[in-house]
Amino acid sequence: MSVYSLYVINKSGGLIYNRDFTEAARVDTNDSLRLASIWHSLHAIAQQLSPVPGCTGIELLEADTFNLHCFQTLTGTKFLLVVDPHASFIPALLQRIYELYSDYVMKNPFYETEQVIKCELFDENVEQLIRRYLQQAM
Amino acid sequence: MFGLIWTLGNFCATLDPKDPSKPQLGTPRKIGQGCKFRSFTTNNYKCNFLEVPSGIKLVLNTHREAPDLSDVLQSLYDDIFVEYVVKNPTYNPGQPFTSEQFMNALNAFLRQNGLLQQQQIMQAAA
Repeated sequence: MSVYSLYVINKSGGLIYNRDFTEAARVDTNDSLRLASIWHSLHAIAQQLSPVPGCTGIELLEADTFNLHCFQTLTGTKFLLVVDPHASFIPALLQRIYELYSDYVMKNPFYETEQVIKCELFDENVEQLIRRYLQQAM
Repeated sequence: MFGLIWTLGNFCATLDPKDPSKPQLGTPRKIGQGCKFRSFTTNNYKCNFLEVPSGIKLVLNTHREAPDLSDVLQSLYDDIFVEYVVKNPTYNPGQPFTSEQFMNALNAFLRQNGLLQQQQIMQAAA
């Protein structure tokens, strides 16, 4: 059970927040920016390739060593959480992170929308939330 | 579809949180190297993926509640693709194929596994 990293992507595909919770999960800065914009495009392509109408994009990507959960808000901001394949309740955790984002980022008067998130309160609360989640999961 | 699958492969290899020495994004990868992806799920479909060592890629789109299908895809390759396509003397490796026997066997196989929905077999040059 582990949470590896959190990415927040704005509606045009730019990386606005990146946080790694383990040392091995750290990705080169350039690569993380590119991964974010690649994910943004893959998300859009997967919608177009849908065999049935009404697809809103990838929600879960399963790989050998990790699962990536994606939550897209109505405004197009995406929250990505890279977790262990056995982790549970991740959609609920993402929902909580979105709440923290609305409380501590959107309500911050100095925050400019679509720009990089530099909010101490958001950092602290995400940290706490993940710590609580990991304790409960154990 | 090929672009999506191929990019997701590179994406997973670079993102792999268990490997501290990650390959840089865009560096060429050998088949089967690095962290591979198995499936992705959207709000209304699930795309299952398997790449075999020869570079043939199998993609199976199913409904989103389908369980982990990696074993099913592996046996689809072993029992159906190898039996009816690779062993077919008129099959030209790397070329598209049409074989009624293959289609029938594939339909029977999917029906047997309870997932006759939609299937796509993609081929990639090894």
